[in-house]
Amino acid sequence: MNKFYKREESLPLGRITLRPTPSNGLQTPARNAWLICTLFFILSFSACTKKTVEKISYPQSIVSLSPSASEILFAIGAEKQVSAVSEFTDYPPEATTLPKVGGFDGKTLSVEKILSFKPDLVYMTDGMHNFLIEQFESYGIKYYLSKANSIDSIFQEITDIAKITGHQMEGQNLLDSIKKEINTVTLNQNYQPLVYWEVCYSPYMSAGSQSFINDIITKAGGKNIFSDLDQLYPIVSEESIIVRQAEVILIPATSGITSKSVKERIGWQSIPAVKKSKIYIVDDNLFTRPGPRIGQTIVELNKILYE
Amino acid sequence: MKLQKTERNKFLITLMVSLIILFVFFILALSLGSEKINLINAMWGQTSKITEGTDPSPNFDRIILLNLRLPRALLAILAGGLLAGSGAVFQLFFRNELAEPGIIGISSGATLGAVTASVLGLGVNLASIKPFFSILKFISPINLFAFIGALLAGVIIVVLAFNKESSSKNSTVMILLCGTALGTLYSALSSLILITSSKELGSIYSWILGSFNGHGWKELLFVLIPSIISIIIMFSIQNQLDLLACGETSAKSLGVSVNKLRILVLISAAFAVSAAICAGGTISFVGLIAPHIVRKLTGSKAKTLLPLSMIFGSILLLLADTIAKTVISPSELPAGIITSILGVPFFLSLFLNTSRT
Repeated sequence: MNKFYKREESLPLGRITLRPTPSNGLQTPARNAWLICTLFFILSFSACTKKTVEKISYPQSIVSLSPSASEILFAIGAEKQVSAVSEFTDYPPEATTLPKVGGFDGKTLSVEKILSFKPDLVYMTDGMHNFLIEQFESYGIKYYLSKANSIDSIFQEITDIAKITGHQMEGQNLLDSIKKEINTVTLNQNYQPLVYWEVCYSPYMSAGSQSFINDIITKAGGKNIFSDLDQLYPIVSEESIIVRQAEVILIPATSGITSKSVKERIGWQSIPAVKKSKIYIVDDNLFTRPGPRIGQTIVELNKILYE
Repeated sequence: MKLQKTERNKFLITLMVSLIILFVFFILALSLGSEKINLINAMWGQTSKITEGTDPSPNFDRIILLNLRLPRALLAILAGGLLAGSGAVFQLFFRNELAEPGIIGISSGATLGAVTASVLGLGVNLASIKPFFSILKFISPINLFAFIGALLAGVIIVVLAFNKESSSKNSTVMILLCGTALGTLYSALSSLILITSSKELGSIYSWILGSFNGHGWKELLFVLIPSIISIIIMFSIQNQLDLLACGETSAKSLGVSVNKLRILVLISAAFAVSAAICAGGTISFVGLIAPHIVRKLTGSKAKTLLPLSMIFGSILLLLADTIAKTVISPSELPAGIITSILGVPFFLSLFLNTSRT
C-alpha cells in the first residue's frame, strides 16, 4: 500500500497544506520552551489528522491492454498494482500468471471484462484502443494512452507511468539503465549499414520512417532502406528492394520465412546481404515492442550490424 | 454458328486493334516501374559491369526486366484473360450482364484458404513435410491454399450441379443461390479467423486486396496448367453458349445438353478463377467490365465475345497493375484497388445508358 503525504504540484491527485501554528504568552525562555513543545505537538497532531489533508493514492487495480504496457509496469516495480494484463503479455514470466483481459487489437476486447477487474487505471495504446476513451470517461475511469512510436516517447511514457503509479525512483533507475545500455553501442559516424526489415512477402511489406523499428535501426547504427517512405508499413516494390542493395536483411521470426527461401528468390542474388549471407531471423516480439527492453534490442541489433 | 461477313470483318478489325493495344501496354508494363531501367541495356547489355577497384556491379536493368517485370506482365495478361473470359462465359450462360464467376463463391473460397494458411503459419510447418516440399518450390503456401480453397469451392458447386438433374430455369437459379450463400459463409469464416487470430495481419489484408507484387516465374509456371485447361474448355463450349441465347428450353430442343454445359461452365470458371487468384489475389470487376465493353463494340455472340473479352481483360489488368506499381512508387498499391476504382465509372455509365434508352 502506498499512501504518502507529500506536496505535489504537477499531478492532480491531491495537494496538502500545513496549518499555521498558534502562539501563547509566557516569559521568554519558558515561553520559548512552551512554544517549541506546542509547535512540536501541533505538528505531530497535524501529521495525524485527516480533516483537511487529502491523501495521494496511487492506482491499485491497473489493467494493462498491451504487452509493452505490462513490461513497463513490471519493470518499474508496480506489479502488485496490476490486476489484469493483455492476452499477448509474454514477458516477464510473472506477468503471464495474471488474469487476462482479451486481445490487443481492440476487436476482441470486452469492456465488460475490463470493468470486471474494477480498474482505477487502464493503460492503453494510442491507435488501438481510442474507441474505449469515451466509455471510460463516462464511467469516470482513469486511463493512460501510450503514444510510444519512438524511443524518446518511450522514455516519456516510462517517466509518466512511474509518476502515476508512485515509482518515480524505480522509473528513473530504469531510464538510466536503458540509456546506459544504449550508450554502450559502438557507432560509426561514417558508415551506417543499409538494413531491410521485411514484415512479409507477397506482397512485400517493409517499415517506413514512422515505424518504431525504424527508430531502433537508426539508434543501433544502421539505416533503413525505406526510411524515405512516410507510411508506417508500406507495400514496397521488389525492384526497389533489389536496387537499394541492403547489407543486412532482418526477418521477423513470426513470419515463418527462412533465410534459405530469401536466398532462393529470383533476382535477389545481387543484393549484398544475400551474397554475404547476412540474413538474420530476429525475435520480433522483442524488436518491435516499445517497452523497457529497447536497450537490449539496440545492443543486439548493433552486434548484428557490425559483426 | 458462322458469322455474317460484316460481323466477321468487324470482329477481325477489333481483334487486330485490340492485339496491337495489348502489345503496346505490354511494352509499357515492361518499361515502367518503381525503378528506371534502360530496356536496351537490359536486353543486350553485359551481365555485369566491371569497373576497376570495385566488385562487379550486376546489370540491374536485366535483373529487373527478366526476373521481375516480364513474368509479372505475363501473369497480369493471363489473369486478366482468365477472369474476363470466364466472366463472358458466365454472362452468356446465365443470360445476365451482371454475372461473373465470383458469384458462386470461388473467390471467397480462395480467400478462406489463404487466410487459413496465413493464420496457421503453414509455411513453416509444411516445408518440413516431404511431399509438400517440391510443390512449395513453385508456390508460396498462402497461394497454394488459396488455389485449393478456390478449387474446393468450385468442386462443391459442381457436385451440387451434378445432383440437380432437371434443366429447368429453377435449377440454375438454385445453384446460383447456393453459390452465393456458400460464398457468404466462406467470407464469414475468413473474417472470424482474422478477428480471433493473434498475428499481425497486414499482409493477408493486402493479399485480399489483390496484388501482383512479389509474383514471378514460379507463380506463372504453377498456374499454367489450370489456365490452359480452363481456356480449352471455354473455347470448346462457345457454340453451345450461343444456342442458349433464347432460353434453356429452346436450347434443349436444339440439342444442347444444358446439364453438361452447366458443369463445363462451372469447371472452367473454377480453374480460371483459382489460377487468376493465385496470380494476383482477388481482383474484382475485370470479369464484369471487359465483356461489357466488347459487347458494345461487336455484339453478344460467343464467338466474338469470348476471345475479345479475354484480350480486353488482359489489357485492363495490365493497365491496372502498371498504374498500381508506379503511382506511389517505390511503394505499391494493390492492383485490385485500381480495378475497383475503374469499376465505378463503368457502373455509372451502365446506369446512365439504361436510363436513357
